Amino acid sequence: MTALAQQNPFSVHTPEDMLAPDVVSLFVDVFTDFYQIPKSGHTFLNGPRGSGKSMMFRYLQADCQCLTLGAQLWDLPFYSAYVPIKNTDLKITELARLHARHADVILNEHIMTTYVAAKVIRSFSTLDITDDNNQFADELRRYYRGDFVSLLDAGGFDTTSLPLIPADASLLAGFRIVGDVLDAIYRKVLLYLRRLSFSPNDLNYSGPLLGYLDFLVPFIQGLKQLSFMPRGPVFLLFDDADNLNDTQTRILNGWVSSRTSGDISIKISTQLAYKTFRTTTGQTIDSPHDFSEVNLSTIYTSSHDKYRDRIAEIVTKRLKNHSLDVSPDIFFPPDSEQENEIQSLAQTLRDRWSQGQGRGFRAGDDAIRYARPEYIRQLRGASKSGHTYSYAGFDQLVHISSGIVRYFLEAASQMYAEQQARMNSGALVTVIPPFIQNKVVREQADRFLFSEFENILKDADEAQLNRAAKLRNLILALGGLFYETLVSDRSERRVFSIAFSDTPDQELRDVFALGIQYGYFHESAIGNKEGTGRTKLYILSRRLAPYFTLDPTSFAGYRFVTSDVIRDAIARPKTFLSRVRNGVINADTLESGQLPLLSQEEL
Amino acid sequence: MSGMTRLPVDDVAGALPEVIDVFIACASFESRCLTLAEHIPGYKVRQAILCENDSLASLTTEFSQRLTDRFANVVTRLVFRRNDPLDVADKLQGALANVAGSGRVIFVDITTFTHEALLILVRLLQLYRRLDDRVYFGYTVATEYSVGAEGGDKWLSKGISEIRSILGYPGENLPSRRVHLLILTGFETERAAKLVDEFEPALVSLGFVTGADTDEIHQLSSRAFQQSFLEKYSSAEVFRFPCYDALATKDAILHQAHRFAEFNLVVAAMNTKISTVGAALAAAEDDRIQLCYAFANEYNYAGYSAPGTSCYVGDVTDLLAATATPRET
Repeated sequence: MTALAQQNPFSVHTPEDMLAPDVVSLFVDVFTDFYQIPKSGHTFLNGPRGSGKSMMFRYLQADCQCLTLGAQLWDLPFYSAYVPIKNTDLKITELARLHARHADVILNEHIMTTYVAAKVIRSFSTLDITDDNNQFADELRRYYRGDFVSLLDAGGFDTTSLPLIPADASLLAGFRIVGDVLDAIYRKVLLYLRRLSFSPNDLNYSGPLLGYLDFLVPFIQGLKQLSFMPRGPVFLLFDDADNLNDTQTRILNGWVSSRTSGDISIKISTQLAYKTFRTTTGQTIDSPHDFSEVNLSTIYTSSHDKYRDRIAEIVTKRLKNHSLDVSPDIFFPPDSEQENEIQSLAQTLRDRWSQGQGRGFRAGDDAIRYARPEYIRQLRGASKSGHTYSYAGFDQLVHISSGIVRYFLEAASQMYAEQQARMNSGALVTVIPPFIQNKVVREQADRFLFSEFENILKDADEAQLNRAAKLRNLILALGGLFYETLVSDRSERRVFSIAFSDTPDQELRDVFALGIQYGYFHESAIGNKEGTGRTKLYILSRRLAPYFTLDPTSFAGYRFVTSDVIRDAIARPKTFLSRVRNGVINADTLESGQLPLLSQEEL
Repeated sequence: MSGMTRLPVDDVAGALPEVIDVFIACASFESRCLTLAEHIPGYKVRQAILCENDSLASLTTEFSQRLTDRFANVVTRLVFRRNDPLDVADKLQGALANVAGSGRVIFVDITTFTHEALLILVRLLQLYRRLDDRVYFGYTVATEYSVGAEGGDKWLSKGISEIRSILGYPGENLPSRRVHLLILTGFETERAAKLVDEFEPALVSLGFVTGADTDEIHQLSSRAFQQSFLEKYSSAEVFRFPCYDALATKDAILHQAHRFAEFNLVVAAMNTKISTVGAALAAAEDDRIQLCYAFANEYNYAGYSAPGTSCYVGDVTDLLAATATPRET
């Protein structure tokens, strides 16, 4: 058992820093859902921070794959090299000196190529490759002296003073020397950038220039020929590619468009803020022509059971690593008093259905649809006496985490820490009391809507500020509307989504896009109102359910709305909600014959 | 004491040469930007370079005007475009070049520059000051930060809209190495935490304030920060630095850099401007160090700080000269 087991079982670790045994013991295989990722071909993997992208990339790396499959390196179906794009690794401020001036594309491509090549070489440093007769080390040495030197020569690098790989050097030592050479090339361009800091006109660069097609592709193809390498493709795992600057993003798109996926498949993770899908020549790359696309939150929004099963498996594994053999439902129990009352209401609804007073096709339909909303309705006004809806229970917690694994784990980690603090030192936490579960998810909902939103609202750009203010109003209006719907007499009360019955303009689409980027909305698709095609469905994040007192357990219901209604809700959310409550706006159609003119927007 | 000595602000004029060829200051939303300027007799200053940020124009108008009026006939105003470090560098470089002569006395009130603009200015002074120029720095101590707020409610800025390397300090982040993020911490718990989350570094070093010369407010903030931060990042390496001593801060950073030499080191200076100068000195001495800036979403405009009655002033020429110049290809 590694050190992980001694900590909070729900602690979130940076996957990059985790050892292969820990990754394999904690990872839940999701590649049946995301089958494109471990297959040959370029793939974009989009999802908010914490949705499990980096963990997937870590699991795809060779040390984890060897452990999982019980195989040697050369038996693996593919080889993966992790290419993290940290904030200031590639996005160096001095590069702005080159923008639209001097070999901007060529120098950025050289920087990226060298960086990726070095990361590929570094990926071997964590592998334990058995090389009894130094056969592999010999192969690497020959490759280094032959193809590698030729490629560097062609790129303009002076290879006369290259270090030699000694005949008795191990494979690892050989890779270290190759890595040092690539580091030296990278260092040279960094020195050039340093010179640019305060000398905007001193642009002459005399170092080597390495590109994707003329260096990186043949470099990797050469490595693939070494007998310890897998026969399948090499995956370049670009993690957090949103951190590339605009030029670098266009260069990467050019790589994606270059159809090298048989040998090299580029897997790109983004946090939904990828700068552009255009290449340096202005052309676009498109799915599925150039790449396949996986949107994590969309998949989990449309298939909740898969997500629940995945979280249950993650929790079970983590508890087991912590010597706790207990199911997630037992570890995170619901508020039993509340559940009993909801069950009692469900029974009443079933009885009514039997007496011919039901609304659904089956008695069970009415119980599922209306028991929990009815319970929440009965609490309306009672909250002042301290009686509020409890969001405890594994199922509710899964729903509230809204398709993002880290949201579940962070909440669970905080609950665990709070319960541990209440117990005697050394005692084992075997259950999280409902009141702690409820308290933590409520605090997180408040933080999500207020503290985290403040950061967006204060963004400097005037256009973004305006859009963020509209987004906040949109969330408040829709959250309020969904609550009013929940406590109404409508046949479908558990609504969390809207779809447009007309075509929203760019301004509205931009507001929703911002909401999706920051995780306040998810995007899916449904049949349009006319039944002639598909239209976008915008789903409010279930993380907000505790703030608006919504039932998080179902998201089947949605409302069709017009652009005018949403525009009105964004401009005047309080007025909009008060008109819904007062019946001025028809709660079913969300339409009003006479909208009073208001001079002041509530922005 | 790193070339800067603590003294009452009333004594600042006496601590400076008779003639100041160039006085450089930054108009801010903080009244601290006036303190040193208003304690230097106007006749001493041959030329004043007053900087300001265009995005804060509505908040800095009053203080900017007061500074301009004070040095009415000798003022050059530099208005920096928001979010554009190249603009900051080019304008400062141009303004310094336009001041004729050598052996100039340059006095910089570092108090209210942004960390990023200050670091750029320090680098320019290291690289482009003329023969026999003497450079003095001044810094007004605050009696209180986040004025009126108590304990954990104190804040100076919120959110991070962008993280970028600082112009002049690109460092040498080699692809084969992992990231070591070093933060000189201050009040800004949330921003520091976000910085760690954004970088996901392999190693975090947290610098906390220490030293007999340190004001109680810095000690208190540091203790509160330390407690809350270490709960979240229990594996972080902790070290101490004196926030009013640039030289000792430089040494503290370099000590951490040498302890973990196998990492790429990225430094975020989030404490006093004197300690930020220390970060600049460290990066100049070891140019593998990258300095980064976390651009805040929001500043506490209404109550950022209250000016104190003491300041740090001194000749830093030798400090700037002692550090290495950039290597050439």
